[in-house]
Amino acid sequence: MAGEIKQIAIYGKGGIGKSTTSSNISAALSKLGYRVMQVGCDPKSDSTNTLRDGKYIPTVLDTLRSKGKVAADEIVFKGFNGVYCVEAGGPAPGVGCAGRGIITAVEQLKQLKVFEDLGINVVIYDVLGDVVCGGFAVPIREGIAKHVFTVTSSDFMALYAANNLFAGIQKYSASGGALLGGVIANSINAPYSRAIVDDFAERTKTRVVEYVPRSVTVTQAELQGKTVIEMSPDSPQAHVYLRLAENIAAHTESKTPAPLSVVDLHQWAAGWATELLKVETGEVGREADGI
Amino acid sequence: MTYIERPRFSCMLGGVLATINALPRTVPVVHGAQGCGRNLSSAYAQGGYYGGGYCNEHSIPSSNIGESDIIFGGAETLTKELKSSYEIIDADLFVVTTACMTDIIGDDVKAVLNDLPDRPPTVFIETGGFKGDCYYGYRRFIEELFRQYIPRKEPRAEAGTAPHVNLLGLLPGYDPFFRGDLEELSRLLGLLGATVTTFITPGQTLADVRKAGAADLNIIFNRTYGGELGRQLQESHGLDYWLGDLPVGARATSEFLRNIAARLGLAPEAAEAVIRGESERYYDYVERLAPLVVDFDFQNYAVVVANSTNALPYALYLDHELGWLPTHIYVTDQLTEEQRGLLSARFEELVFAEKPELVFETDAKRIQQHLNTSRPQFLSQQYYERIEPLFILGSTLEHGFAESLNGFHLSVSHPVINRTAVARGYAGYNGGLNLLCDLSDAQVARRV
Repeated sequence: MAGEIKQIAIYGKGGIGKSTTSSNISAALSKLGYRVMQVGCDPKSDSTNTLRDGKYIPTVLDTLRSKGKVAADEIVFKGFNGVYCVEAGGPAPGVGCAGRGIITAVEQLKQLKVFEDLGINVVIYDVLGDVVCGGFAVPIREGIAKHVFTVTSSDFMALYAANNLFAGIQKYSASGGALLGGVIANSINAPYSRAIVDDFAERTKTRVVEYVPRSVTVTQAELQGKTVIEMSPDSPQAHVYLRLAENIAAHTESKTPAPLSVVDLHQWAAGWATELLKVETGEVGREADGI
Repeated sequence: MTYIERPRFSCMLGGVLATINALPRTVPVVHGAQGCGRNLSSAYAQGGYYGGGYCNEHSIPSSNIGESDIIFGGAETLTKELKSSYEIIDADLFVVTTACMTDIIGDDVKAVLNDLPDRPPTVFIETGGFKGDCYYGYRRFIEELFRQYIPRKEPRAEAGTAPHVNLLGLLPGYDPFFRGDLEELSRLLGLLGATVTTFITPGQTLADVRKAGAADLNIIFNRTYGGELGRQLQESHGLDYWLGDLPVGARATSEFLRNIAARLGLAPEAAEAVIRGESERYYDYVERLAPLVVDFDFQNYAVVVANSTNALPYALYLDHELGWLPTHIYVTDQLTEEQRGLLSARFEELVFAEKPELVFETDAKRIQQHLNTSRPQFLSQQYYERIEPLFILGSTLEHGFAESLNGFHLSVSHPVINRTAVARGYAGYNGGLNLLCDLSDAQVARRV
């Protein structure tokens, strides 16, 4: 499977399920025959844990700090089904500059040419929540990832973070930065959740790539330090992730999103609050759940 | 279009380092990348070759942080640097400053200092360059020096002790003649019977500096940041302040001494005696040069290009003492609207034979363009009186411009790199004579 390396960045609000989604996509892509590397871009350094039986790996920045320079075999570790795992690492909470850390770690990976040497087909960057500063925008700037996917639930704050990310993508789109592949709707169980995310995607001129339901299988897998793909490869949830991975593998054309202004976003959310209240009070029948 | 700006000031850290450099036995420790301390030393040195003081300039201790410190925090590196500095450098006061990147990542310098409880006297100030310019740095540093190092005044021991004043508002290097100015004003206030703390002239000790909290009055020679400095020190140390222009020449200095004597409650007769004696000597010298100025037609239009501390005083001197015609006053520091308002209000109060135009502009090329397009003959084919002969009192950046207009030039504002400042000063009576001498020299020097 030679050819261009497909570099994908996955963003989303903290705690929304980015690492779970990323790891399952990586595992699923490896099942589909791709050589995959997952790069955790979060100082917590736990993005790849479920690909490695819940274990932490030495990070790029810790290695750089202790040794002054890094070799590929000191920072790249094989996980489930041959998925290569890298953690950028970062400072302890409250000190230093995590954003600069991400920049340095990503530069190191480029300099070491690990993608080329290992014959990687797909790189997944799992990036910390909000794009709070320039450092966290590095994976979507020129020359790194080409496609961005954002994980979001139907919660307002998650959509707010997604909208902020869209603004970041729009900003860099003119200078060769990554474009938006689409939205991964996570924890979608209530019918209205799906409708909310669909509406948001439509208004911001993007698309929903997959709806991932909330599932106890995910929780079980996490507790075992595994991905769903590894623990329950035949479960319905595993099939969702496989389908998502196929979608992403086949994805070629990303686009510039149209983020809403803060005022528009709040107005839009207020509109939905009114709709949901009508459902709650019975003013609108259950058949309207799916609006 | 403008050329790339040739700077007339530096950042907050630059102002703080310039001031520390002038304090006795005081050494800065810069918590920043390699280069900040050294490069900013070059900037203040351009104030008439104001070199390095005690363990300053080339010798400034710096934590020289690298990328790893940025990512993981630079506290450990600073701790090492501080321990070494405390061990190796024989200083009576250390000042820990930060720089842009350490402020951006939020290194907790206070915590580092708290972990070194047995340290020698150390003042800490956050000086990220992005916070403001060197004048802002000066103001904030003086405030922190008072808060962290200078004890508050005790109730006056007894009535009848000599009044004590502090002189503030001149930034070393960026006010190139600060030492000469302060020494002359100190001399004059001494004649009134006052004890004077200048902080930054030769002979001052840290013991003098620590007595500043017991002063009766802070005298501040800057109207843009000076008011805030006065208020802050009033709040922290209960010190009264007087805010005014740097007095240059006899008229301004006599008025200054009367004002200060009144503020200190001194007998007016004693002040008048000092003023009389000084003025007589002053005008005796002026009289000797009067034939040169009057008979040989050393009358000039003048343009003043200087910072907010010096621009108005120099222009006023030219009008009041020499009878020249200042046409334009360019104020070159970057001021807020409010600060511009303060200076403009003062300008409106001043009486000139012909009111010059007050312009706020830092860029050397734009100043040239402004002056060129202000000349009437530039605007039409008709005959107009030219702004000639012209004398530009500015920085060295104005030298070529003055030549292009066939005018004279004297470097009086930062950067001053075509002359040295040493003990030269333009404030007071002696300063007025110095300025008369230097302005005349610039003209007679062509008689070769």
